Amino acid sequence: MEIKDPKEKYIEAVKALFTNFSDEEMDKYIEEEALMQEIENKINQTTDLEKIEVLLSELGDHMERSLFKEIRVTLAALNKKLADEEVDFLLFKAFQNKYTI
Amino acid sequence: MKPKILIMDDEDDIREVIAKLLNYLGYKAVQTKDSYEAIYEYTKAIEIKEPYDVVVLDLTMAYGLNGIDTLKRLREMNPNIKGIICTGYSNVSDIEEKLKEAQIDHIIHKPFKINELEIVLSKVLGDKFES
Repeated sequence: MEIKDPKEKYIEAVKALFTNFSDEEMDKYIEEEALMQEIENKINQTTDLEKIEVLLSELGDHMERSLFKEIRVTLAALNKKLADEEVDFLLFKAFQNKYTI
Repeated sequence: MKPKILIMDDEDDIREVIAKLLNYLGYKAVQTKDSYEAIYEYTKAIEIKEPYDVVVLDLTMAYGLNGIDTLKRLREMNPNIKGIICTGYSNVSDIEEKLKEAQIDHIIHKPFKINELEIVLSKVLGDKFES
């Protein structure tokens, strides 16, 4: 029996979810997801508000529609180590500078 | 006293982000997910004599009344209500008559930046809350 590597399995799973994606779109999606993950990891490694503000903005360069969910998930993770008012400040800055409603 | 804003939007994320950001900006924002909740909340506020200063209503709702019809209902309770309609429609000329009829104070087009909403709110509120 053929054993597939995890990346191949992941690609197949994503393809099954987005059957209308072309190969090119799929490659772009996977690449964007990886970049977003990398940025989220960087956010989680710091409590410096200025750095987080810049990283949150960078996150938006790789997202299309689901901005709210992504930002909220990221900020919810941050909530564990930042004060509520710091999270509110970051959310405000993100929407003041970059994101739309 | 903080200006009180009633928000109605059926998209959880949008509604929550608007409320959170407006609260951050010094407003007292209350969220409702449909026209039933909005009318109930507005009625309750009048009963306790703490009426809303502005209502921000999404035009297209998944169920219940849309933003225009909700505003009409609220006007029956308070003819001087200030109403802002949010819409993703780029062409509002199709519903221009309805918008006029409902005497909407302002229309804000999605997607919008929080600063735009803040400017609209300042205009609609006038000098009532200027220090």
